[in-house]
Amino acid sequence: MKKAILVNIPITETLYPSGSLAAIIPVFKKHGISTVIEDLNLKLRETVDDEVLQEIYHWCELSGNLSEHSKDQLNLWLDDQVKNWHTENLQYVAVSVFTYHSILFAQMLLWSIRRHLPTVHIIVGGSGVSSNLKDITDHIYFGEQILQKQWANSVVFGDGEMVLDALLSGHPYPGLNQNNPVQIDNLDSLAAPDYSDFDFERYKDNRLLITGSRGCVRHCTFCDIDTIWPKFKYRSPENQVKEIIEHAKKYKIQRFEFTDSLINGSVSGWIKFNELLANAKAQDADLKDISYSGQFICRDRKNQPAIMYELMHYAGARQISVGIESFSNKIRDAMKKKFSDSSIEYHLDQCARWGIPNIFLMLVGHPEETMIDHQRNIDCLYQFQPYSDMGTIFMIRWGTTMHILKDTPLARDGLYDLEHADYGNAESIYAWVNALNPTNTLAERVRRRLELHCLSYELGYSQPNSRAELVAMYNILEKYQPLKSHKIFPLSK
Amino acid sequence: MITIEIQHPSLTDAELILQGQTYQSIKKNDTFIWTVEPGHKIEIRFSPWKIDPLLRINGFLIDKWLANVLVMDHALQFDLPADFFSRYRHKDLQGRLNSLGDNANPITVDRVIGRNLHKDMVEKIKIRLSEKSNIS
Repeated sequence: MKKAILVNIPITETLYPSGSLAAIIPVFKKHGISTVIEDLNLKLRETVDDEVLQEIYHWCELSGNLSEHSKDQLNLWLDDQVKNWHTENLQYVAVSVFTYHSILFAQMLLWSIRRHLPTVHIIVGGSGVSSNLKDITDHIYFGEQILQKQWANSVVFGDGEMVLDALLSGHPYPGLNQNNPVQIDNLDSLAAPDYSDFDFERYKDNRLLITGSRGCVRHCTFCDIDTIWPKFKYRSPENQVKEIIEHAKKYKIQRFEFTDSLINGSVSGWIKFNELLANAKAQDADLKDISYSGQFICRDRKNQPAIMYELMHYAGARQISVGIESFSNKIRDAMKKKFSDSSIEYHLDQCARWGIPNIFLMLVGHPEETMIDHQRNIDCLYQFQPYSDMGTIFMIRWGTTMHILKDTPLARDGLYDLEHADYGNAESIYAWVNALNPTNTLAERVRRRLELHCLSYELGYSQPNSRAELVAMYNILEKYQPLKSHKIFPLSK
Repeated sequence: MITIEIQHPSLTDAELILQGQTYQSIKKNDTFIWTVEPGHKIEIRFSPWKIDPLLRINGFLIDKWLANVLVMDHALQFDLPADFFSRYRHKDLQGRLNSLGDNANPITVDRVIGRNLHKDMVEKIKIRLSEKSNIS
């Protein structure tokens, strides 16, 4: 029987199995190919000490360098891994490049596979292949660079399931070796992800991923999701609940995490999903502990009926991540977030009422952000402190300051006159200045971010991964010089 | 003043007793609501028996374990000191920390708890910002 090795690489979550790989396993099995999982992302965390791991992560995130020594060590480590993969019937190695944070690692891994497994058919997929960071990918998309350099035999652009199926069938298909993917129209037609190859003992969280939708109903100016999925497509609520119940019974898993950009893209679909899941839990004691987490959008009150929050409670909403981005209404309007201050307050009240913890995702230093907007962020930290005390704002993430990615409306549509911005260059996506708001320099953005970190700490907010974010900001400051002509605010308030 | 409410679809009657005094409730559908001063040994008796009503304090759904609520088949009993909310928060964070085990690595603690100022990094960034500021 032919065999395929499916490889997960940094930087992805290490707490639970890769959903991307689980989604393509049924495609290989359909073609009579057995599969083996190689989770290098997890293995690296298991085998490398924390200090080196952080250096590798910062390098992957493009916010730090990898020393020559570490680079040599990582190359040796990869060579050892790849050499162990060799078996007689090995036909394919499929590498998942989750985001642009995986590109540098992928380049190194692909060189190693080419050297040690020269006859194997290498397939690379994941949204990272559609990234274009010109100093890293030679001015072209990473997938195109891979094909040009012959680091792999095939590149899958866009949704993997259909393209991979065509590849294994020997048929051409949009997205196969060309950056012209078509979005899958009917998500209900896809086979359910298969997690049977994963060793659950190695993952700390007893949790599985589930996909309820692809794409987004918003077009936020800082986000490039619509280049991957131009339309919002969602699975039927019945199909999603069926998958959750099947996985809960088969793998004895009670926690599920949605991979969706937003779980409540369809308000009616979202309400129906929660109603069905809540009913299933009420009727079967084996399901009563099922819970879920996912990314949620705040909407205006009329699109967030109270019954929705109640149903979410009974369906097992364990945690939602909400892109609030800024507490300034002006900045949210500029981002096209489309919800008001009162919508946030109503959302928090409902989440408090039904015990739904939120992770607030924030962005510091939007091109239009002034000291008045920054002050609004500060004021709201005080205003919402009770929600933090009681766990409704379970965590707040301020990020590493605003960076501008190619293929986002901010870069693509010329919304602002941004100096020193070079969206294709990993080294300058942070180092821009809006000519009409010149005091909002990189250094000033870092200063505001630092102030919000310190105040959040003082007021008792939990801030996950804050050390990694602070280190990344320090490294960014080390690498870049702010524009000399622009004033930087003093450190003290 | 603190608002306390219990909610259950089968709830027909409930009374709140604090320091021997029974407080009047406001009933809204399946919810009974009281407004009280902070105090100790609050008891909410409800009927029918053998239900598990939701408990809210100041509009927040309460995790009964975190709030040290004694759950009986006919009543809920708990203390509501002035520092109730900070105690609740502390127990929540401590519970999360304990769940990571004694030897949790700092990266995991930072990811799961996120309650660290990281003063060394804050100072390093401040120094770097000062230097950049001087250049300008």
